[in-house]
Amino acid sequence: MTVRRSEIRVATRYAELERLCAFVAEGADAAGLSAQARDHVQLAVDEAATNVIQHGYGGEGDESFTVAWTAEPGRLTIVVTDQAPPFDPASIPDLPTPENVDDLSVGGYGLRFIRQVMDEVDYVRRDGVNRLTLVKKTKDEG
Amino acid sequence: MMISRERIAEIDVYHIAGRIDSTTSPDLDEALLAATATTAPRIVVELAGAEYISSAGLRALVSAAKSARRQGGDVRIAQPSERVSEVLKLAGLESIFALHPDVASAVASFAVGAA
Repeated sequence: MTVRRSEIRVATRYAELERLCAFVAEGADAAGLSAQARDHVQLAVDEAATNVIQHGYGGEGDESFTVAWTAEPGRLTIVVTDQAPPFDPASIPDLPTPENVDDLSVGGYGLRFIRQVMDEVDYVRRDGVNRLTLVKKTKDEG
Repeated sequence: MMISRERIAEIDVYHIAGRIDSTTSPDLDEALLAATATTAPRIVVELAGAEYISSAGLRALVSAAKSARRQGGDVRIAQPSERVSEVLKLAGLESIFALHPDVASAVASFAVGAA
């Protein structure tokens, strides 16, 4: 079985998001994911990286973090690693589904998207490092 | 991202193309909030050329819709690209925003009943 792996370092700048989306799309293609699954992966990684910049590091700056993908046939694993203060996505409750405009939340959709579009989401904090693992599989693998 | 604006039948129509993410959404936010700062603002956002939207872009749309409705107006979406439609669905917002297949029907929707 062919396993491919790639890693990049990303500056804490929103302008990096486009390059990051292109990077994870390569991983999705290497894993043989569908076009829709590739879109999902890009969205989830964009949201995760935005959270690292916005909530982890408190906004844009001169820090950096890494994003790595491992592609196996039908399965893409993405690991986002940063050294910002702890931020566990699982600790944030799901947004309620809005029924009218007054109930609408202006923010908070990012984590909802990550949970909805990825098959596995795992967060670990160890030795001062946040490690968010996101897995996307082809549909027939469940 | 590119934003262009035209006025059709007293309705502000914004055409948005390209990527709407954390880098570009502040520009969209600024444009739409300026448009909603009037009495009963009637705004159509055409998203056929929006190749990508993240939650940051969605935030700009939601914030504009809330602001417009507070002022007695509305923001309606025309011709969302497939990717935009999917993200609106994921967010559970497809029924909150009135989605129209094209600009003409979005503009016409304001003539039918109150904004």
